[in-house]
Amino acid sequence: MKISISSSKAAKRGFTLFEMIVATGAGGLLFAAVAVMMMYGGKSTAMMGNYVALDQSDRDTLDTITTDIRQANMVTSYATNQLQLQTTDVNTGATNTLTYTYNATNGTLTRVLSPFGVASVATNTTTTLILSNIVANKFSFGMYQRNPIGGVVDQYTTTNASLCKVVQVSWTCSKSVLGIGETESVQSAKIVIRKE
Amino acid sequence: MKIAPSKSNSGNVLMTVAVVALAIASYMTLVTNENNTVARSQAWNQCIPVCESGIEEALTQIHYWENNFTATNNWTLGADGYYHKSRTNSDGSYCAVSIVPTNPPTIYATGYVVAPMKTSSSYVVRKVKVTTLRRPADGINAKGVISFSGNSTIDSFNSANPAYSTGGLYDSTKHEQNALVLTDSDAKPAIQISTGTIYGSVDTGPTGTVSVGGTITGTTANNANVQINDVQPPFTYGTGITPTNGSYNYNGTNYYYLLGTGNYNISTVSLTSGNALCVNGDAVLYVNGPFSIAGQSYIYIAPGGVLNMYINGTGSFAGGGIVNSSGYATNCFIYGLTNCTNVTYSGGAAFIGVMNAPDAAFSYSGGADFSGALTASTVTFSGGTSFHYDESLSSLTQVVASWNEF
Repeated sequence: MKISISSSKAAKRGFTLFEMIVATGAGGLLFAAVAVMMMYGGKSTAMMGNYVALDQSDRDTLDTITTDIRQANMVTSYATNQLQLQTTDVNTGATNTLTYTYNATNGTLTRVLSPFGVASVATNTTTTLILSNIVANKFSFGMYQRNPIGGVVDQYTTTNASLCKVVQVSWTCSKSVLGIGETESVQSAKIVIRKE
Repeated sequence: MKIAPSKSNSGNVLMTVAVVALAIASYMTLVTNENNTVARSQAWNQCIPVCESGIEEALTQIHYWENNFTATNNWTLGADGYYHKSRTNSDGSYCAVSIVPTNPPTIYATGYVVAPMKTSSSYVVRKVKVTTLRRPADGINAKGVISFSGNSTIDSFNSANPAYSTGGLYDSTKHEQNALVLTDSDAKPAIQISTGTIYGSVDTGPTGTVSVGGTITGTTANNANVQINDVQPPFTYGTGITPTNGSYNYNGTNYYYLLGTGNYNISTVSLTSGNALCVNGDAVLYVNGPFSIAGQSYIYIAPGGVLNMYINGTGSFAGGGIVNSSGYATNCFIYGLTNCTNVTYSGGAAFIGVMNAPDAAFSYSGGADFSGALTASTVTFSGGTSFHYDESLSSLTQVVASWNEF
């Protein structure tokens, strides 16, 4: 058997200029396509990750707020950027004041739990930052009384805290990622105080 | 045979594909996890209305029991001493409820919702504890306008507490300030008191107003939203005993009707010419038509006697009215069925009892006061008559005192 290894001149010659141009062009196009795909894929993944983080933060906050309001004894004070509730500790039976405050400058929502009748700066006060990245002036509380309005799925509004049966909370959060885009999440809920 | 030189760039394609596949896989995993998290969050929140349905059922049963706990309506008494019930919904979710038979009762409701992307035997579970208390205040409940003319007093007392009553009777020197005058009406005014004082609170529909010439010691609100249900007949008409005459030693001995313990029914009752009705047992009287008292006639509820009267027509209590000798409202209950659209009371004796005629225009006049509780479609008190709510009646109603989620 004869094994022939080609070593002809033709095989040894380099690329022609035309071949080089075609090969470089095709390679460049392929590289550009892959680069663009990788870039957008990375951006999309980053945006998705950003949205997931924002959504989970929003959902945790909403779950906390809804649980607190459902269990509250009553609303004791109300403003569109602040809600104060009277609550009872299920374990100790102690009466507490729970205050949610929206800070428009910082874009944050804080939850302050303090013994009832004690100023919120007391040492045994628990302050928790439960939400950040709130878009300026895109947060509000609303109050409704128990009566439904005939013909529509809504209740009568009230500014009297003692008549409050339903609390509405709405906000919009936004977060940028690597300077390549903004992710926005909008939440709105009406919560019924079960005890009232 | 020709062996071609190996191409060293073959691994680059594999690497590129691997990197792209890894990126796509990461992205898909992220999206899947987000989807699962949202789905689980929705199931977690769905547990609350599932628990709520069980709590509603428990509250209904507590109201039905009136503190006499028995294994009825598919509630079973467990070895733990609690009453249990479970109900499954069409989507596979279910609620297990327990009632602790104390006074007031406590409710534990556990909501089970099928976990997302899991088998039907895997659940997201949440638990709610609800404590109850006696409805703190009551008095007059109406669907329409409530009106008092003359110098009336609306207040409360407690026939079961000597500190707030004398011999179980209303005593103006011991009265309390817990009466509630409530109407769902949006009329302007929905509550009108010409002069006098309400020792308690008033509540109207959201756009209703209150016109009071005197004083309200409690709160004034406009968030009344009370469901006032029709009264149901106590038993099938025709299956009861027909009332007959008899003797009882009070104000003479012969009575046109004498009711002992049992269920009685009759088409109409018209007591005139001094004819009287006496109750000396625990009697339920179902009148499937109008009921009237006039002239010298009256109803006498003997000591120890209890009258539960259901009227399916107009009610007119003039003459001597209803003499409730025990002095306790819990010995006299007058119910108006759906055909009872008008009830007037102008009898000589003070009404001491519970009047529940949700479809009736109720009017009260004469010199004697009303003691007990009142529910009607509209309410009119005239001639300066007063209303005294008996707080001992509130024990029949339980409301939510606290709601705690776990």
